[in-house]
Amino acid sequence: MSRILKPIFVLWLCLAVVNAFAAKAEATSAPSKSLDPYLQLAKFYYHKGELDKALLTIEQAAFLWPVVDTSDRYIFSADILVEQKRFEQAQKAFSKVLGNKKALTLMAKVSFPLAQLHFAKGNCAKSLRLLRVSNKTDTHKMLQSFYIRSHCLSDSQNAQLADLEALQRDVDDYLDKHKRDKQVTSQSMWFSYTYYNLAIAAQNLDLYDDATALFDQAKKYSVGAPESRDFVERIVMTQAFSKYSDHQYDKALALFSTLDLDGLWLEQSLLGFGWSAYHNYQQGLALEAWRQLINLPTRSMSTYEVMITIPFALEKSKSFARALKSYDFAVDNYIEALQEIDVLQSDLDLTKIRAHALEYIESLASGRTIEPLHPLLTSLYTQDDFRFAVTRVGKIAFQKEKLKAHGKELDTLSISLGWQPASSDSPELKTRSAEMTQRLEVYKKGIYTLRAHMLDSAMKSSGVDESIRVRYERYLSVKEMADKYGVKSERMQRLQGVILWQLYESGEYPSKNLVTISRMLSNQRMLQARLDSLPISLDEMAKFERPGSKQIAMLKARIDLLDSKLDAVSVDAEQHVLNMTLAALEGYEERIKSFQKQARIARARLREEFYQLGGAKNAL
Amino acid sequence: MNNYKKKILASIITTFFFLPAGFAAEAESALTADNIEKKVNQLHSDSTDLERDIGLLEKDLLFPPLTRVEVFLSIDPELDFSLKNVALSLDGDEKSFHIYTSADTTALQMGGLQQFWEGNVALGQHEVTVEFLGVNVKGKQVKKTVTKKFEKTRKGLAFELQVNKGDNAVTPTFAIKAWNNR
Repeated sequence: MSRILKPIFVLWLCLAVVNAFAAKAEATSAPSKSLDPYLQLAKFYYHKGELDKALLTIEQAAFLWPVVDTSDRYIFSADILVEQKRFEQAQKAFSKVLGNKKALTLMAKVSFPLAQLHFAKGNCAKSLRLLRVSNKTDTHKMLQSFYIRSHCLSDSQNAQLADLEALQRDVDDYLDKHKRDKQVTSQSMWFSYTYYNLAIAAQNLDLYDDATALFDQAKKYSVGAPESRDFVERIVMTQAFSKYSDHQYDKALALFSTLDLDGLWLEQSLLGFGWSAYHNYQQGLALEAWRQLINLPTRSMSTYEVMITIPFALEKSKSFARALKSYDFAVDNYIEALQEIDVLQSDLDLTKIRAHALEYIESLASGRTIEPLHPLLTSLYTQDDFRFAVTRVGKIAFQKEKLKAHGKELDTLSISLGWQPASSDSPELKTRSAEMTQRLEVYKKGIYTLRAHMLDSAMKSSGVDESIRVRYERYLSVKEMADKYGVKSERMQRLQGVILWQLYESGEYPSKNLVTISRMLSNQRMLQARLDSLPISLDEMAKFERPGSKQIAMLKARIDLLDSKLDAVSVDAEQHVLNMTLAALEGYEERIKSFQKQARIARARLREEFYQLGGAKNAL
Repeated sequence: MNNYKKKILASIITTFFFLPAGFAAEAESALTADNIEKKVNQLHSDSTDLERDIGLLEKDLLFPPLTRVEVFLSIDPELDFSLKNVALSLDGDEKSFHIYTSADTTALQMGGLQQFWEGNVALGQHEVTVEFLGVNVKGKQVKKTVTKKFEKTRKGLAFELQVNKGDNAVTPTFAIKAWNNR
């Protein structure tokens, strides 16, 4: 039993633990003060979980804040890209660093993030080689290197006892030396992950006592972090299966019974509990656990597996009649499940996949749980490949939304810069221009009326030269005629001005008033000239290119191009998820058919044996 | 247990534990998945480049270097201080106000730098006033106003609002530091 169970179980747990916990722990890396403000700005976004914004800040920094040594920026970008599983881009970022003239001196700096890249890509050999030459200057790097080493050891088919002992010694020594270091105690989850992996490695080497001690260490260091509760549950479950593999069924039972019934591992713990109880000669308890599994609100593959396990256990305990009824129940349920699969297979299409992917992405962001496409497909979501593919479809849809927003942003930018088409034909300009002309006319009339009053009051004084007085009287009579026949007033106003200047020159009019009135008139003329020239200026300006307009047009073209490319990839990505789902359904169908066949054969055999032993047909 | 029963049991356990390992059909489609992933990643990079260029153009047009002033905010990683809100005024006019969430404070204490404000300022003499409000390690409210006079020249200008560790671990110090190196 242990030979079958151990390697598969270990592999499954090891694969899952990286993705579930490593990303969260990354966010607790040590603070680092840098002299490059844009790098610090990017770190602000990174620590807030806004990875795309952090990358964008680094990209913009090259233009906004050029620095001599860009290696830290590239390494930081590469770290984010590794976290986003964009390995090719991460590799490019590393090659930019290593393309630098100071490649040799940079190698020590780059080797650690490169080791992380290869680890994330699943290449343990390369990762471990780079870790050996890397410069693990800070605590976080040191703890991560322990984690990578332990993970690779637990994953290795050729792990040796000496490797396990050496790594355990390194971790224990480091903890001894730094147990009072705040940086170490605040990141204790890394020790928990490391000891957990070491325990798995010990288990692979059939060192069950050592594994127990290492699991206990893992539990000890898994305290305080938000993710610790789920991880402790995982440790307990793994430990329980470890005891089961070591045929210590009573201990396995004790561990399974401590697991939270509302936890993440409910199905596995009920299944494990049942098998442990069964081998511990507690068939009643085993059946109880398995029935509980069958009665769960959602049905998964484990449910259908247990349906055939129960009659088997009943048969073993010689409850033949109950076993036969259970086989019947199982066969009926298998027929029902196969019909459901048929309906689902014909119903699924790209639209449904897209809608589900969008919902999935939103649920990830908001932290709420989401129902799978079908309860039977629940276990499909435990596979990294499938989750990744669904996320990818959602991300493409999200990118398309982002592009749409960028297009709107560019429109807003054009408007905020006043690039609405403006010319002399604009109705708004015409209205405003007419309004201004009218106001200037009123202003001008006011000045002339004022000047007429000034002249009138000056002429009424006693000391005015007789020749000027005569000219003034002639002016008044001509003005009367001009007003009567509608002659243009400009000539009369000029005459008015001339008489006023003659008064001024004869020293009979204060110069200050005349200067003021002249300035007012000059201003009015200037304003009128500007108003008249405005339509011409606007038409001239329209001929010139506005700053940035060319760039905006180019960016809009890039948006359209990218949008059409995304459309093409979107169909491929959706089709891929659909294929995976259909393939999984086909697999489930085959397995359920196989259970159905086994149940039918077992039922027929049991009936036969039952009759042969003298049982009556109606007894069943 | 007879051989037949053993086989059933082995099959049940094997199938259950093999479940996460996936199916043969997936292995066949792995190449397609890789291709799609490559295309999506390339488009993601194109999108980032586009976003970068839009951002740079916006910055150049809306905040030209002649009038641009940027204000950043940082917290000393060793300081145990919970920043609640910060208000920035320029020549008496409030320009920016930010309420800090725990995610903001954590990101700042991890060595991050926040872009607090970006705007246009006319050439000549100005006065910037910043009001800090937060809670110190003893749970006591700390309020402090800091003022700095500066001259806006034709060069771009940036300030860093610093919340530093003071002489004692309880009371932080607040400062406005100008970066003139651009």
